Amino acid sequence: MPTETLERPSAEYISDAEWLASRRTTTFPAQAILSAEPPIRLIGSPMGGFILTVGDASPPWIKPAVRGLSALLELPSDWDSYGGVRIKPEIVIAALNLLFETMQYDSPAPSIVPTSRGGIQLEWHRNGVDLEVEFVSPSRVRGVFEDRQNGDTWDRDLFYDLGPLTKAIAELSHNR
Amino acid sequence: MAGPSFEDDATIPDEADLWRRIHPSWVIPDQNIGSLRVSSAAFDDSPDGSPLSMLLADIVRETGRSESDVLVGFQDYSLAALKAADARTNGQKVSPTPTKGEPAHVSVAGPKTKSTKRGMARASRWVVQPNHV
Repeated sequence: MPTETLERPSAEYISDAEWLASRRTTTFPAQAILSAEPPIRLIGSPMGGFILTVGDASPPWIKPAVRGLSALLELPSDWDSYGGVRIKPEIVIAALNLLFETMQYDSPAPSIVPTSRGGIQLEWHRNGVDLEVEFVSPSRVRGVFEDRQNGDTWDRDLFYDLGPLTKAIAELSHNR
Repeated sequence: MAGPSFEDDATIPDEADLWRRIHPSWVIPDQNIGSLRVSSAAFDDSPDGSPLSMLLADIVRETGRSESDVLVGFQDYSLAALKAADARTNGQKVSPTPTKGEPAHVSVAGPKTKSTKRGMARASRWVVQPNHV
């Protein structure tokens, strides 16, 4: 099975365009295999970047999610004109892992939004649902959910329990 | 040592427009309303702790500038507006903090909870639309 290897060893070494076009496999030693389920593998790099291998059978949301997250790593200091700090690679990895754990094959890809404090926000606004997940750090993750049709809402810490998020994402895929 | 305090300025009427420059990455599709809108991430304080920076539209115009003028030098940015009332109903104080380079600068100060930021994002409207509409 042919695979596309997306390698991002360091924001300083290769551009996003080079990364997306890359067909090289990494020679960086793996600090940890964060997800070993083929055909998707995500490996943290001690250089501060990450390597993601995506196979042809991967869910459709993977590539837009990875491209969106990769673009955030390119943002410079003061990217927002209000002193915004650079997005932390470890938060990118945490966001990807959360998506691996909660998304279904046909789940819609999230909007991927940087925060001025160097974090990431994943957002979905569709099917009468508003869902936002904010990463302040890899371990400080908060989600807000609102179903405009039935009025259900929650606002909670997601680090220890992804159940509500998994359920909410499942609702995004269903036409109502 | 206590930091600066920001008091709400009652001379800024509730219907006054406050403008916020919006980075392209803060523009998101919202299928629930059928258009692009501003992410709640755009309505946070700065990383150094200073309050949400906005521009008082009336002062911008008094200085002979337009909506487009405040985006000069900010390629691909758009401009969103919020009524002062919307900031206040979300627990914020609207305090003029003019600088040498920007007489229209205001600080929108107060706790920026998720609910607050979402409330301001939902109340905002485009003044200069995103390029990729």
